[in-house]
Amino acid sequence: MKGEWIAAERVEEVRAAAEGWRSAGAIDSGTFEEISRWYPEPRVLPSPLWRALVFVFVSLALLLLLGAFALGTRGGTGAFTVLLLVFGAASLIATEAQENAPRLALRGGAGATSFWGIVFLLVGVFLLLEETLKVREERGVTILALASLVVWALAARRWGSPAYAFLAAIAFFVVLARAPSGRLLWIVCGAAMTLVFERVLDHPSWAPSHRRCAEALVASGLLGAYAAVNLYGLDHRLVESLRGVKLAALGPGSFERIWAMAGTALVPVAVVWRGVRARRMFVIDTGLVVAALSLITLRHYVHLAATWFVLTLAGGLLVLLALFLNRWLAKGTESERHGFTAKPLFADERLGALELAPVVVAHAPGPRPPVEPGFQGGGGSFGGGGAGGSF
Amino acid sequence: MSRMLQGVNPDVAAAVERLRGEGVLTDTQSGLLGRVARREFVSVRPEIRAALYVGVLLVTSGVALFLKENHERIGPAAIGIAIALAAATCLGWASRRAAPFTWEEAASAHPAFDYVLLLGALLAVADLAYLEAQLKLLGPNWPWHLLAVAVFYLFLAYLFDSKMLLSLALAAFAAWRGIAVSLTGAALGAGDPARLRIEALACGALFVALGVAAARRQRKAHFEDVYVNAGLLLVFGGLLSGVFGDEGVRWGAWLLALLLAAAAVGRAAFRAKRTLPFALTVVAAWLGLQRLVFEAVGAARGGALLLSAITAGAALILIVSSRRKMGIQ
Repeated sequence: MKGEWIAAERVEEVRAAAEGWRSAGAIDSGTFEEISRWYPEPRVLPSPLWRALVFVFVSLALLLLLGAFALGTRGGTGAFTVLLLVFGAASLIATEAQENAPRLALRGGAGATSFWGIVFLLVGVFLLLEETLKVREERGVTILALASLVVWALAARRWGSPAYAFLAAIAFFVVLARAPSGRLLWIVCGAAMTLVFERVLDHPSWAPSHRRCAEALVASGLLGAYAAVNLYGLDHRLVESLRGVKLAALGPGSFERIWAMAGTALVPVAVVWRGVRARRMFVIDTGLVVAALSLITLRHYVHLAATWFVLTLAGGLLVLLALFLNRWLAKGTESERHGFTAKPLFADERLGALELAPVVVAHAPGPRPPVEPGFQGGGGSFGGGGAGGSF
Repeated sequence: MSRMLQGVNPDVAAAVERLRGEGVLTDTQSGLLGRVARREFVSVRPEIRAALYVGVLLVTSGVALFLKENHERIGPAAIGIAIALAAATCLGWASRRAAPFTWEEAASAHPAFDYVLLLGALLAVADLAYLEAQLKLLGPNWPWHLLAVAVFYLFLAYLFDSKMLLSLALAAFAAWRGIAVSLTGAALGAGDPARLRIEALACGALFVALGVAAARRQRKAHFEDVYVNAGLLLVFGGLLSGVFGDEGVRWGAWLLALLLAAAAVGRAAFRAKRTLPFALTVVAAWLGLQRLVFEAVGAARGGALLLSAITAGAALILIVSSRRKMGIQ
């Protein structure tokens, strides 16, 4: 990552924070203007919707152009492979050009060209291995996973995208799964990844986007290690199935299962505890996700009650727990306990139109059925939250 | 915004110190802002809200499953009363914590407010639907209960200033007219597509008109974006359904109507500096044009894809230049 990009990112961090302070009323407009004078906008930064729109249309243009060339050349797999590699290289060159132009760097186009450039290259490599070089499928997948690891990791380092760091982590775990003792490697390397990258999360010398990549790698390490110790994952040989060879008929031993049961129960607690201790919300959130997965695993093996009862009870308890936490924090000194608060702290809580969409999709009633000529209706079926259709 | 919520930020922490030293921030301001930047003070508000939302989803799913499995064994009266009590408890809780009614935007009194209100409304509506299905109060006219649901949601939305319930009210109204609000289904709903297109256009126009009226009369003016965006989705959905669904030669007329509507909406959105309606317009117009592209180029599919890519590039140029001319982020 270039020095000027890092310098621009640091200014953008301060500007983004100042916008949050202003919208929360922590500073007035005059102070915000003063901060803007101290930290002038280094690059054009449109809102997320504009960036998403640009991303979508650049993606469409690239894919359609590739399709047009593929149909136009009428070559075989070899020609298509060359086309993919050429398109991949061209897209990556376009990414560099955009990143170097402050007017274009953050518009969403660079994200689209870098993502599709890498995808084109990887698909091209896969076709090259499978169709041209006739590499055996088992080895081909391993080489592809290694190539993915290298390319996504380099892309994360160059352009500072946490999504690419996450994809590199996935490729890393796939590579590990294809080695002997893959499950053990997942646990060891997952924990090591977490511990190594946790050390640089607050490092001032790291670029802001690289710190976010480190966050993605910490979360990936935790998830990878948890996936390896989860009882359901062990019983269903989820890690071993990635190895690409026929699995032995013999399942896990009772000793392994006891360790997995303990891991399934204890890892979420440990992750949440570590997150609370360090006051790192993304670690706490990761812990909550794996806790939910552990509860689902428990439900899979232990049927204590009917599903409706478990769902209602779990939902009710979750609501009560959230209300209790809110009340407990609110009653602390100045609404604070141990550095935590339930106050929004510069977060905008207004629901945007895009945030309403999932609520409507989940709870909207189904449409009334069409009226057929001569049909005499006999009443509809009842619906849940949506009140339409049948349960 | 989201970036600063992710926790400690040495760049922001250093900037706070610098701004305090230069006198831009007061000691009080820099104290709080510095603590947040150094991760000495963090908010769990998003986690609490997420837990409440997931909790509400689980409870409504559990209740739905319970009704499905037990309605014959327990009987409609007991079930109806139990759900009504639960709904009344939630709505009563929301009513006690709600801000006094105002035509302006009301601040949320409690982080759980939106979700408990949603839970109460969903349970009440489920109860209404269940009783209607069991007792057949409306008989063959049972779809009218969808209108009752829409009115109920609308009443609660205005009373408690909830955009969430307003969205559900509009979806229920559209459902009453037979239109499906679904991202998975390609069609507007079941039944005669021609009728559904007209229903979608009429509903959409009504919603847009209500949104504009709300803003002009300053009666819950902040509901405007919900009304307008829902309306535009229906209008463009109806027109696109005509462009792609009409088997005859009339698709050209539908495309012309779509492009005219897109031009009008795009111009209005540009003038009002509204991002989402502008984005919807560009996407709808581009999608509609694809029928023309593929009809015009015909079997030469490579050429059609090339032309399609060119239209995507043109849309991209329009987006980038419009954003700059609109002068907004």
